Amino acid sequence: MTWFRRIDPVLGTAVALLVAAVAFAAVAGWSWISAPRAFGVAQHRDQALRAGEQAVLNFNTLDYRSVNAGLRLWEQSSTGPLRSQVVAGQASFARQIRQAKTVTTARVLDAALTGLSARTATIIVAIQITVTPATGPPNTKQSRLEGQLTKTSSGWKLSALTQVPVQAVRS
Amino acid sequence: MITSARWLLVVLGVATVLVGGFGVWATVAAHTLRTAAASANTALVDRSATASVEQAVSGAVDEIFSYSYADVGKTRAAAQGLLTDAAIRQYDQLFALVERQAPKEKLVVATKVTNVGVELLNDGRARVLVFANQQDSRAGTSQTSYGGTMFAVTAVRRGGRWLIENIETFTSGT
Repeated sequence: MTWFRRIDPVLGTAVALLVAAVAFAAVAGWSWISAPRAFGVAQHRDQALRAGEQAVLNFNTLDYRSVNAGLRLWEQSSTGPLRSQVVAGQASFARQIRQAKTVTTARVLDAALTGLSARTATIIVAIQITVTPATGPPNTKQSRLEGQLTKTSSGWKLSALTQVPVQAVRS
Repeated sequence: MITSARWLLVVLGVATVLVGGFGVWATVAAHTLRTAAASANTALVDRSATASVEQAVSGAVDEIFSYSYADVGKTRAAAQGLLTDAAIRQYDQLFALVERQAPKEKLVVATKVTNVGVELLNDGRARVLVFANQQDSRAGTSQTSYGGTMFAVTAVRRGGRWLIENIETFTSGT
């Protein structure tokens, strides 16, 4: 072991410190690499839920005094088959609303996603809808809605929106 | 004059500081990630935990809101094992009415959850939005009525099981 004695004690200490630093960095690095990173998916989910709630709200809001602006918002909030329906029915629907002179407003009571993938999501919304006719008192009802969301280049849009049907219970 | 031995010391020193510095940074970063994850909402992020909450809440709702006039006690007893805290009081209040009415009307009620969505899931607590269908039949008649309902449930994990802690119905407001 003659080579050992020939090593400068200062140099030996420096090497030992470096070895210790490498060991510490390795442990810390592993701890960092293995730490949970759910942010990406959590953010994805929150964006889908927020956009979905707003889109469902938009689809339950319409004022006969600004039907065109309202329907434009419907169009902007939707994609795929739902958007095609909105576009196709726009003219006749606008005419009906102007004739009926109704104002529809809505409030989201609660909403949740029931499914989520990279480009699609399913949302359920508990909503309260108030329809005010030209004459007479406003009519308020609660409704259960289910929507399909699709992620487009300009964000999450509704591709389907239906009322959850009341059905017989099979036991 | 700087000798080559001294140069070596400088290089070793710099390397130690860099490597050690990375270690300190990684420790802090790992701690930050773990703290954030512990308080984060893992609904739909943690798939298996989300599925287990959905399953437990749908099963419990089906069970506690399905009853037969012939044996209301059975449903009430089962409910005690699926509910906790405020939900027990809420349920007892509601069910006292059922226990009075059901035998008189020979009521059989079947409830089935149709949609369930976890909004919040964190550290053994969950908030879940539930849509369910209900079917009321009167024994001895052909009268059957159908209804839909919606409410939000808070569930807590106790002893490895999810229990319903609170039921929030959306009573009609303004």
